[in-house]
Amino acid sequence: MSAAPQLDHSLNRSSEAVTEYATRGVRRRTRENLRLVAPIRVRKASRGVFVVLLASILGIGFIGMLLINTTLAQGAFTLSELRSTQNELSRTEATLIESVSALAAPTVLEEKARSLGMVPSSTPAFIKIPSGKVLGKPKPAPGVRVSTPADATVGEAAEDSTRSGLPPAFGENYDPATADAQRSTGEWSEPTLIDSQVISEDLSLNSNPVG
Amino acid sequence: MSARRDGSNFSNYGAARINLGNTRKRGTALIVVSTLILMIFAGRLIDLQAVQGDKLASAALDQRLKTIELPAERGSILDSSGEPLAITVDAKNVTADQTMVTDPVMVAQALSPILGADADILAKRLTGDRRFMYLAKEVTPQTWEQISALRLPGVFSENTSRRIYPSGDLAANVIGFVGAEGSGLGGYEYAFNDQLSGTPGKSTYERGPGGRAIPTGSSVRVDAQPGVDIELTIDRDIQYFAQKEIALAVQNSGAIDGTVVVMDPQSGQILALATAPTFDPNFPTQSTQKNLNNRPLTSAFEPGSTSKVMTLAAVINEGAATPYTPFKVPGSLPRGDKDFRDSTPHGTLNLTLSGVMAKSSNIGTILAAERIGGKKLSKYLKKFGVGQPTGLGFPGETSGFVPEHKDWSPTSFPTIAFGQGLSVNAVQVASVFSTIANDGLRVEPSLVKKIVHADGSAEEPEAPVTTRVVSRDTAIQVRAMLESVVGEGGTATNAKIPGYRVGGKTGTAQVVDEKTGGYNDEVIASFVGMVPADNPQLVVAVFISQPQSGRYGGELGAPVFKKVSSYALGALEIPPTGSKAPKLALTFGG
Repeated sequence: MSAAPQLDHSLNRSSEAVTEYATRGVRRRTRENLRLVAPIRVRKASRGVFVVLLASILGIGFIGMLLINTTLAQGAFTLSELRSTQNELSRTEATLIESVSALAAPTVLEEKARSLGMVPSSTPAFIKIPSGKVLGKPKPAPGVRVSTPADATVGEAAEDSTRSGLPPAFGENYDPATADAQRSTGEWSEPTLIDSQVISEDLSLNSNPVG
Repeated sequence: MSARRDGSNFSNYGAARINLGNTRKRGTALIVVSTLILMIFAGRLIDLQAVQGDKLASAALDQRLKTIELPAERGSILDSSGEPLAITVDAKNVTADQTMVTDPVMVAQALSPILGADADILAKRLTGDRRFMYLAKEVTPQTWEQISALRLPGVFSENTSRRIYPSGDLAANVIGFVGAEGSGLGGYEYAFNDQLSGTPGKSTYERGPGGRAIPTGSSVRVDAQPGVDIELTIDRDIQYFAQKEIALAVQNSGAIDGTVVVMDPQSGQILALATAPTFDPNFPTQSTQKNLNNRPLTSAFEPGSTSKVMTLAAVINEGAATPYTPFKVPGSLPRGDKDFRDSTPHGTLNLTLSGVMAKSSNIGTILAAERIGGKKLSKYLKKFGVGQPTGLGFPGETSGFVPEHKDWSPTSFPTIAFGQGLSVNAVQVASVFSTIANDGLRVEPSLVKKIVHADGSAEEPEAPVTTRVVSRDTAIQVRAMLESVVGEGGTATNAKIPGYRVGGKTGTAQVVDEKTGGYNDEVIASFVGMVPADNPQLVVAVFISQPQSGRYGGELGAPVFKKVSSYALGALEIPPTGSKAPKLALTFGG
């Protein structure tokens, strides 16, 4: 791989070439008449391959174009389909936002709370945990006094709550069997996450003018 | 072959004629002609491609291109806990192509119950040659679905949006309202209109004959930038309660209007800014112009006795008196060309400074103020923020008015000392009491808690400006005096909240008659208080303008204060401090 052998090699090659040209020159001088040679058949064979090649390229191109166009058209259709789904969903969202915010309006909440027999507290008071010390001077809420679970013994309270159709308050005896029985009689159903009845009932409030 | 023969024959007759028979000549002619034709083609091609090329291509593109505006969604206005006060929802405009409607009466009758519109009016809008006519604007998507299900010929829809205020008149005076075009016309809807409305985007695309976008065509889409959400400092529940109570008080007393301001003195945040009567921003056109105003900021009035807090705080801060300093208060006091009197006639009273505050004595206040003089008093009034913009940047806000000290007449000093001859708005008064509540440090009031951008990033407004107005000691002493107002022998025993220490001041300010320029019989009854008085977390200011039954701040304002404060204490979970109110001597045995 050193420079010297490479140089030698090239020198050898050029001397060969010179020899060849010399020979050719001699031959050309001696060739005087044209003579018929057998037709070269290679050309015909290559034309067939060429046509096939071109046809297949064209074919692949056409099919490719068709595929791309179909895919794009398909995409356009999917797009418009998804757009309409999106529109529909955003419409539903708008409707739900509107009804939720209408239901959550303080006016509606107060109305609902009052219909459940709740009244606003007149004086704020706090219970310190765990000492149980009462901060502030609480007063009984104004209004008609109704019997509450706290007034009654546990057994009576459970009965009261079934009568009023309301779920039992915290801390009361909760018997799953009784609850199931109540559920089956339709007196009180435990609200599930999706309860069409609850939702449709709530939506009906939407018709009430707010404010 | 025959052509060649003919050609040779012709060639014998005139040399000038082109010999078509000559093969070479004919070939040349063919080449020349076709070259000419090709040159014309080439010329036209160059003309089309190079000379007119760009113009034609763009004209063609214009035919296919369609640009539609992508509307930006208007941001919401929320309360301090993120509950919506103003939101934008999708809506539809119902339109008609009159030329496609064959039976207007039938279509009108079908639409009438769904749109809740008169069938005759609808029929008129459906009859004619117009290709586009609005039948109803901003209907809910469900309403449009009902209409769409009827498959009425010639009835179409257009996408739009609708601004709704789900809580009705709740905080309407602060939020404001939008006009038919959806841009803000009042309140913060107006003040923040640019930020709320965002930037509309646009979509440009190539479309085929059917109007559908060409998938391979060029398209440019610039997305709309939705508007920002504005979170207010308003607490929806306290606002609701305050609004309800003030409306009730205005109604019961036969007053023309009323205002409640609930403020957190430490942060300067306004938790409720209620006024009655107010309006429903869903239907702003149904309200009178007066009721569209945000009175707590736009209406100025003479503060009256509530202003004595500033005067007496200044006197104490200057070391000119203490809550125990005795004052011999005569029945009348001549100053300038006037004789000043207290609201109820009395002989000479022996009142301490606390007594002057508790009994709201005008004469006692003048005597105390004279210990520091007008120049200093004027300086303190300015520091308390009176006559200055509140910093809320509310449209139509008034700064009130305090005459410059150099312009004071001989009667100006005594009248300004007890709250006449200067004007304020309700928020300024609440801010004065907040300054005392916050140990003498005034925090500029604020109504905007934060601005939330579409990408979810929140932008907090600049920290409010704070000013040291009086010392902490002064503020504590003034608070003790304010407690004596609510205590035994004070003017506002109605403001007591069981279990809590309450401090406050009543005001019964005379109203300046706009026609005569003098005072008439009407008053503004007010009570401004703070709770718990030893560590104030809340300042509540109540103003009832021109009541017909009842007159005094203690009898009209104090009960509203008590109800609103009690509710807010519960809502914000502020327990009583458990300490006992100091008993300040109101009189002295002189």
